[in-house]
Amino acid sequence: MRKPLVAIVGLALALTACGTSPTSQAALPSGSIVIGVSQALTGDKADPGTAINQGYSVWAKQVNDAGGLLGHKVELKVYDNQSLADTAVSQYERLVTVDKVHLLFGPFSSALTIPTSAVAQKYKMAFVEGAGGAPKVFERKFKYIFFVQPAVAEKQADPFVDYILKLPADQRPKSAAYPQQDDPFVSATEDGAQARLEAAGIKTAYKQVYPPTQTDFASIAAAVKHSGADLVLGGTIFDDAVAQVQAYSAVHYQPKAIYFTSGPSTTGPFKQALADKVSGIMTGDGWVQSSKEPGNAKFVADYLQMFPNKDNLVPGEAAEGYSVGQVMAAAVKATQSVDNTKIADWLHAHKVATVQGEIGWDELGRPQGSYLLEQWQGGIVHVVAPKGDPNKDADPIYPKPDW
Amino acid sequence: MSPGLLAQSLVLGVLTGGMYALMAAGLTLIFGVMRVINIAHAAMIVMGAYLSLTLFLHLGIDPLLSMLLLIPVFLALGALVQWGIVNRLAERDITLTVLMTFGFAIILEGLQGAIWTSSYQGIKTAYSLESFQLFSLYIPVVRLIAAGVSLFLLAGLYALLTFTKLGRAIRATIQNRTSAQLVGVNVRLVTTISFAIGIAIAGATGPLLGMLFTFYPATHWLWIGKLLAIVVLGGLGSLRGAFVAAMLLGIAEQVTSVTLALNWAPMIFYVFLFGVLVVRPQGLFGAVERQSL
Repeated sequence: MRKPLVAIVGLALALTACGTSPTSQAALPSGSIVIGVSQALTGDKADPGTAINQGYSVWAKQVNDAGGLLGHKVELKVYDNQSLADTAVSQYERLVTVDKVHLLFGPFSSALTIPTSAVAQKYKMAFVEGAGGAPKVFERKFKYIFFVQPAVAEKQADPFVDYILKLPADQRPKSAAYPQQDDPFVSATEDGAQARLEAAGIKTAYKQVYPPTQTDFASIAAAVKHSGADLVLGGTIFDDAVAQVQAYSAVHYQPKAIYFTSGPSTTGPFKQALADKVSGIMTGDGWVQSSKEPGNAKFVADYLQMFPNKDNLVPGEAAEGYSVGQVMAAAVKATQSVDNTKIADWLHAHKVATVQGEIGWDELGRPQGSYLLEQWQGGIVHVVAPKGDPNKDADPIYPKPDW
Repeated sequence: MSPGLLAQSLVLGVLTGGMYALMAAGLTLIFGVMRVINIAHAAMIVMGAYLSLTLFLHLGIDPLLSMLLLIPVFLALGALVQWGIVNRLAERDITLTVLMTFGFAIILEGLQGAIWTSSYQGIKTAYSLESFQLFSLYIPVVRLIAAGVSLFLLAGLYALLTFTKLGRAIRATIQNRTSAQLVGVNVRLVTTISFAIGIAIAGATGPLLGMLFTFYPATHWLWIGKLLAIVVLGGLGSLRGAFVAAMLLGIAEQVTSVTLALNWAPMIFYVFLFGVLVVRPQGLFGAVERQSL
């Protein structure tokens, strides 16, 4: 009896030791530099997840066309996590321990970044990610995470709230509705905005949290309409933003302004799903297709060549993915290595120019800038605020045109 | 809450409940005749939604028209599955069929994921977002159509069960299998036909589900929970019971989601179910089961 017991305990200890041993991949390979990604290519985050991966692909192609990174070709090793957190975690484990990739890029959205960044931290791999900005991403004080957007999620709706609060008193919305998905990124954005709007006297007429599996929006639309809210701040990812617009439109609900936390910036699929109904919808993002940032024109041209679409639209998430590549490339070049600890140290001490502007991080990997307010006008997304921003190319339309 | 909103949610509840009734009808029929709990029922409905979506996207066939195409396909599929698999297991041990249909649900889900990916889908026709106003109420056209078609099919099923020889044979088999056999009912054939009809109804509901709700391969787990609650609440095997329970729960769900909280809406099904079963263990319209110990 004792021998098998000893063997089992021994095996368990050995497995535990394997699991926790730090394996920060460091040596420059003889062949390609392989970058591992577990992405939401299907499931409820499929549209933005696919867009961010397209950004990774455009970056990789540009790097390889220019002779590679430190003379090595870059190769993306991608798994589809079906928008499921558990699957994403095991895929990052696999990427590090089995596929032995040299670098990691993050998945779409905070909900998947929160659990997967723990895998990167465990193996001391720099986790450069373009779509996980909720407070929970940073509260574990990981050293290896870097969020590549101008600012954290709590600040995403700031330019929108600033704009609403600056409206003349007689035009300002009286009450607001907050229909929102149960998601860490969404709640961070919504809670901050709601607190500021309430403090300024804009009443909360409706607030409900629905699960990511919500498939019926008819009763939500009916309740929002009856609440009399003239402002909607929808806490959405993508499919639910589309479904909300369709449901509001079906009950002929016409708010003065409508803002979605995520969805409208996934431009191509959003317009395809809603056609003219996109008009007047607002969102917050760090990038716009017409951005004057250095390198953006080439990114947009290459994206449209690789992923042509009839509206010639580039989703915001693609720019986030592309920026992730730019950040990683800068760190690899500066450190002349794929030593992930050196890369993380370098990123904590430097700012990097991206198509979203220059981004720098604090000790927890939080970016230090601010967002733009964007609005769909005439079939494309324009930057409508803040006033002094060099990328502002239109004035906000208020009230929103009717659906 | 304003009376206007209550009225609006009642209307939505009735329209949604009508469709729930059709979804549950096939499930309760199959249980009634065979005592088989078809866990794959919702997965078959979702399959109908996917097939209808494909016909709509590639051939431009309206989902309502594709129902007509799907009914014979699912009728044949149902007969084949019953005759080929379910019947053989049911004769040995009825409890095995639960495991079998559970496995069948997982296979269907995997198949749908492989063919259509696990992305969210919806069938959006030109009239998808239309609605008309009745006093202060907005009636979404698609929901009205879905409820209308559901009632039409349910009426057809009711007529079949009530006024035809086959219907009498099915009802006799539901009431007492052995006695039905004694009076000359070909119980095996009746069982196969009933199962096939149940599956055909599931296939026909698919396009309606696809027009009203977002769907993806794993959605069937959400639906089968609701459908089982409806069928048990109404009394297993009772079509009338399923209809009443579907209406009750459809209305309760919509009213809850506008009055209490969205998170409560899915739970209300089981709260209702629990409450009714405590008072009436046989469900609203179920016959008291008498079984020897």
